[in-house]
Amino acid sequence: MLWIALFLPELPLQLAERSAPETTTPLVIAEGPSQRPLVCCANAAARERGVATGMAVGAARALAGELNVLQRAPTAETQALHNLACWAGQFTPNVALEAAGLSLEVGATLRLHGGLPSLLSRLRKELSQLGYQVAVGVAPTPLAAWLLARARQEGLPVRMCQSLDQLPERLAPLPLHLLNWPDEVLQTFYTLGIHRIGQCLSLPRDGFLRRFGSERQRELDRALGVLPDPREWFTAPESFRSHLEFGFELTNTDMLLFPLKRLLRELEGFLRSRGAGVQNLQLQLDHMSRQKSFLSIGTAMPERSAERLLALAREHLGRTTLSAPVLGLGINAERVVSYDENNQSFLPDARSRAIGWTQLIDKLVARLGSDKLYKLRAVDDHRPERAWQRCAATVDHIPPTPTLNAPLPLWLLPTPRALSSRAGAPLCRGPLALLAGPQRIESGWWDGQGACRDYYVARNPHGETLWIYREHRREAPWYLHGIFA
Amino acid sequence: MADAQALQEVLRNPAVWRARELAQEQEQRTDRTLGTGFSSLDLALPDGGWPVGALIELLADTSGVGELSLLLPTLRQVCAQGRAAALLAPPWLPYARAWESLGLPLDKLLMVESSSSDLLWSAEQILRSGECGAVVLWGQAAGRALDHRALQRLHLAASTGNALCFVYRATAVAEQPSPAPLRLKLRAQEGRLHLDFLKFRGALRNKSLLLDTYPAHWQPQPRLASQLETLSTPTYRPLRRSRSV
Repeated sequence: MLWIALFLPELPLQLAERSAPETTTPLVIAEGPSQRPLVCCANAAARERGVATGMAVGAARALAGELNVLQRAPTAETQALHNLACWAGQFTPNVALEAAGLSLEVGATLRLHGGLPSLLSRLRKELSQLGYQVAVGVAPTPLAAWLLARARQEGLPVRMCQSLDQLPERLAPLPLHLLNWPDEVLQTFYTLGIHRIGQCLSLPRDGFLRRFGSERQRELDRALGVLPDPREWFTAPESFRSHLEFGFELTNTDMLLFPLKRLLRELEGFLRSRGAGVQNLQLQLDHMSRQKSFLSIGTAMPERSAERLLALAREHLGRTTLSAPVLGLGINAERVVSYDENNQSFLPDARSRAIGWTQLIDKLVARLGSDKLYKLRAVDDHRPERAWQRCAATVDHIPPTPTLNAPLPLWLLPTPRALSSRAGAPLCRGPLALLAGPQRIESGWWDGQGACRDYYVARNPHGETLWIYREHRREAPWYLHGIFA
Repeated sequence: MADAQALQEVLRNPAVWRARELAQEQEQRTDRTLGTGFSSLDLALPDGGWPVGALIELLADTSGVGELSLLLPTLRQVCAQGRAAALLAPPWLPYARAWESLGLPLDKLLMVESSSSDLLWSAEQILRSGECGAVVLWGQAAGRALDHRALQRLHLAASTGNALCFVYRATAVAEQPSPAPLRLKLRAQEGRLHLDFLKFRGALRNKSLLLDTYPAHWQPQPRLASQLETLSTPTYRPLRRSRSV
């Protein structure tokens, strides 16, 4: 068993800074009763001005001058930890939620990720890409890993511990306050002159039990691995939903891409942990007075790569104009479908070509809109305006229709254009000479759009070859219906 | 040592032409042409066919002179090879039954309707992906956006994706320089298509050519015109005469 503890210090502040990366203005997170809010966390700029945790917000404002105050949102924190646990599921199935972070049990999947150092470096890099600052502790028991992580956050020199034998000596120099014991208990230890865990461990066991109770002893035993410490594993939900609140208004769709990239990376981790892909992703933009607008991104084949989804989202966002400034961004993946990673073959084969085609269609549809891209299908009807239909660009096979034994033009006009005539002969940029015909089409009496026409191939003095018709009744005008290109 | 380096420097200068390059170019050319489907045009073109991986400009003022029928055998060949063909910004509606009856599988034809910069972006994406063997673009929809730089990008995209790119433009741009290695001017002449070679790579026997893109039996028929007068009288009579009250 090997546990990695990911400790997220000052989680409310990290969430606020995650969506708005600039750090020059002082920012505090306030909690407590609304009559007297207290400072929960303060960023570096606020600390320079003298703001400290626990002081009243009014006092902080007096010290700092212009100060951004955000209310602490515990629901947002739990949701963020929840999403982070979904993301961490790609490294190991055994993820446990803690109060301010995660514990991952990686003993079984270590070899898959190429050993502990590469796994740790990957974790650190991807967490920084997601916008989190994290302190990492590695130990054979979850509680010891947590202690090491917190000690590292405080700046103490710690080394990761990989076996149970080394654990007592690694834990020995750590201060007692990391154990989160009540103040009066700690005070008792301090008066006894015990400040380190090592000193605590060297106390005689029965004396310790009598003086401080079995609960403290049990905790130390769990840290050392003497007693088992089972954790409840986190189970990822079926759908993924993530949200970021900005502290300011965004008016440009380009500025949305940076926070969107972070959300998509979390989604990718979640999809990897489930071995799934997503075909339909919904973006939610929050505006003032709780108004929301939605944008739907669809792909022909299941996708999970954050890069590709970001490229599609960029095309979609480039086409939309924001109706109002955006205050928050969310993504929502309702349905996930199974995704099989195609083996990258060295030579292009039919399957990779099919994937390339769908990715090209996705890209074009994202930029142009799905109504601008289509294929054609021939319909078995004699009337030319009804003899064709549009179909989606992703259609693979279009069955053929019976061939006609008549000259057909490559281009058709959307509506037939009336031609003027002189002495019964049609005119279209000059008198038309008839080349072939007539081809009589008499059809459609059953749906009220009957057509009884004689079609001719004609040519004008400019050399254009046209398809014209006239209806079969007295003094019917000539119409231009097609062009032989 | 310094002399050898100096010599390398001189040889690396692009102004120095090496005989070896001509042989390489010849090799490349024969591998990368596609037959036009018209034997007289194949003989007339310097490469023996359309140069694959290049931009080809077709200048025509009017549609209906046979300019698209010129490309039909090529598109048929491209579809037979298993690649798709894309038509971008067609000026009219493509009549599906006509395309199908002329031998083009409809599931390999992609139509894209867009305008100006979106059009050029789509063309570049389609060419570069290599999924389509031929892309036919009508330049009127692009308008001002289709300048020298845009044409150059299309040419590069075509060579990256190893595809043919045909661009139809108005004859007024014949005077403007263009990066396309092959430029043809099309017009109608007595029912046949007249081609002028404005720009080409290599040696050429004739600078112009006449092609038959329409069936030969389509000649002006005065007999048809005289039949039209008889059509102006109705061919049926009502069964009952209505009594006037």
